Amino acid sequence: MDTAFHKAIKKILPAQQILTDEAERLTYGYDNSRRHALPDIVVLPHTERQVADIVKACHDFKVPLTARGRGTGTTGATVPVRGGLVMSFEQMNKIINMDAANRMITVEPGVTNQQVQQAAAEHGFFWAPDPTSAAFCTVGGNLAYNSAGPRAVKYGSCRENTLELRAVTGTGEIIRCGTHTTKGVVGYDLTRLIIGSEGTLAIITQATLKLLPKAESKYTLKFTYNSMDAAARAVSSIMAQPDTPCALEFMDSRALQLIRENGADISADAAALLMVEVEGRGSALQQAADAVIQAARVEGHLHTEQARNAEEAAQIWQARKQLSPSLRKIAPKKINEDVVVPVSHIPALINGLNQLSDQYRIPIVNFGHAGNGNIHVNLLINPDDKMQMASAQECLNQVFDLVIKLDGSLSGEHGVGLEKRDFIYKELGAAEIRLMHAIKKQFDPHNILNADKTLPAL
Amino acid sequence: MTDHTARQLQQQVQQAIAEQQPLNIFAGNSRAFYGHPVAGTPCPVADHQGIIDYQPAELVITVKAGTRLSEIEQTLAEHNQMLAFEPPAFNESSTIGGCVAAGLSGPSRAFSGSVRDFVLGCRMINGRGEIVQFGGQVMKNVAGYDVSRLMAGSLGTLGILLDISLKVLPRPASRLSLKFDMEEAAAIKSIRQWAGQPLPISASCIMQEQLLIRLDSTPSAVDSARQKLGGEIIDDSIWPRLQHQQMDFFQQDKNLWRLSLPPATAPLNMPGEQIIEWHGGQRWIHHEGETDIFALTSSLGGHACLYKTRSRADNIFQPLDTQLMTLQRNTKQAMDPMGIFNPGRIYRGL
Repeated sequence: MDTAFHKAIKKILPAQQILTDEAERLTYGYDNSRRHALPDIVVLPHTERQVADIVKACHDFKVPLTARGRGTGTTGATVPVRGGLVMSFEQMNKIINMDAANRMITVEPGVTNQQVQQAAAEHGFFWAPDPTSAAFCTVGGNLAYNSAGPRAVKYGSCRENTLELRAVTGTGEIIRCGTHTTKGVVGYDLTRLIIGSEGTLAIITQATLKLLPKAESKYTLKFTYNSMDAAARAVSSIMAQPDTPCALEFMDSRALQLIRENGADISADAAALLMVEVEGRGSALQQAADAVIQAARVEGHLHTEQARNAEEAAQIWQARKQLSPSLRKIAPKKINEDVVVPVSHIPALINGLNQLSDQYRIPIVNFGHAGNGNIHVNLLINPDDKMQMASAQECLNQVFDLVIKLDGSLSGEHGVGLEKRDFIYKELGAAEIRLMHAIKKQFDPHNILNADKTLPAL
Repeated sequence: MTDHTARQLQQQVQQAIAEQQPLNIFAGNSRAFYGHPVAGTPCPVADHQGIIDYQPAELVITVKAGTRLSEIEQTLAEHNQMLAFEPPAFNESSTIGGCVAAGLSGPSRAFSGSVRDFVLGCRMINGRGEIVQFGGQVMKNVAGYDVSRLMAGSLGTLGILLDISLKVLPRPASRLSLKFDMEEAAAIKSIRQWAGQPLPISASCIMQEQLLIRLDSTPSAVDSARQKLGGEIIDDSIWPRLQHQQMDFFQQDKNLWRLSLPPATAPLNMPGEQIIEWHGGQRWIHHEGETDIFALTSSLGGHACLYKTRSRADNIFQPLDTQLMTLQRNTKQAMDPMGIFNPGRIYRGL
């Protein structure tokens, strides 16, 4: 590390906001993938001005910069593979303004998703993105990945639920894009361009998020089917009725087998399961539930269960919650992909994945957000088994080929980072990637912001 | 699929690049009033039309940019589906390409989302004369940058839209429109309070000391909301006239401003009739006085657009600060390095 660069950083930040000990830096080199790289320096800014000055210094000295929240991402996007500077937002964690009258909240990037939900809930609101890691993950990270969760089927992801961003570009310029209004675009929509760009275009320093009113109550429904085809038909049928559910999750037969082994009460003939949440109030809620129940009864439907209170709902979700611990028990370092295909192609995807599982002798378990075709594909591998790891890479390659063949996309919410970067060419052509590089260059001419991530080299 | 119209457009772009001649892109030309006039070789895309793929079960339609909105909406209606952002169609020749390029949404904007929210992917001609494709036909996609959404609202300044995939939604099972007699301040307060509750208010309009709202949901949810809100039942005819801007208010020969403001903003102390939509977030005013509307909206945390003007204006859209303007120009430079697509339609230099 250039000592002149160190001196420049020390002029910007007090000593307690700079970490240089290796032991301290070590923990900032991980995310939730299996990757690690040691940063040369870690900084903990408190203000947007500090962020801008640090980015400017990195720009001037051409030092790689990786921004991070809590490191819950699964794609290596916050792993500082070029060393350089890691900017952690753990101390920019204030809720700046809760504006109930205009249904929005303004936060610093280090605020967790759960803190936003709690602050919003006090006024009867929620923010739509609800990733599984909500208790730990930060808003900055959510926006960088365009994270979502079960509720996206009805309410969309970060891109649809963010009104304004303040951010710092790769030259250290502070920009504000979007506005505090329903219609938030003046000129080009840079807000949505920055959201999902994984810290490669600009560093988000403040976000104003759109809040939605919480429903008075919810019903949870569980349906089982004798085949994946039947479940997919039910998904289409449920999505075609006017009242879109606020969650529509599914598990395939291998996932069901796992939770059966852990004591879940799922009949032996069930080959697929759907969990659906509808929301509303009073008789309208029951009518919405009845409409879903009717739509879900396609040929091949086996069983319906309806929860009428929080306790019964928790029992239904228990099956889903049992799945992740069961998977971790079998394969603590599983490969977790999140691909997207059109809903009608889910059966073809699951069939293809089962064939790949048999061919490569790697157990593959699938579950996810069926309503928008976003499937979490879990390869239960042992990373210490080098032969299996080698075949897992080839298997993954085939998984992505299958997804593209089925008109799908390689990622719905986990992002690209490093893990999927070299597969992106399957989805985007050279001209498309070249154009994205051209955009990146305009935001970050020295390629310091999370270089090597998201976009494959030209 | 024959794609000769796309190839013809590509050839025209390649020729324009070679000759460094700007293009004036249009289809139905129904939104010609919106934005600055463009000096360039006419580049009509209306012949590139037709529905490419429609899968009602997938809630996705893929269409060529020159396809008329009326054709798309009729096709969707046959399957009880709709474009939930209620795009304004200014006449029969309005196309989906113009709709996405202009980024204009209708009365349901605050409830369902904007046209941009419903764009899943697009195929386009870029500033190198290449045909490129972004996004797809699936509901979620985070592979690379969200270029297809960047195209929405860019008024043809970043490239020529060829094909667009849009998310569609089922039509509501039940609809009811209500009227409340109240002054503007009270109406803004009421709609603000109601919009903060889980009520199916899919559209609202404040004008002439009346608050009009539309409820869209299941019959029992609509009934339940009606019980809670009260009001006088009116017919639904106001909403399409508002959507397509057919009311007399929009036809007057005066400068028409469109203001985007935080929804709870108090009534604007401005002379003349106003229409307030999107639960307070969008306000239409006729204004030809001295007040600097851009400064006013900026001070209120919003922005403005001189939507229709009787004469040439220096600024149609809210002026941007230097940093943001530079970044907008840089984005244009990345997409259209020769500056041939609709130059100056939004801002000078874009």
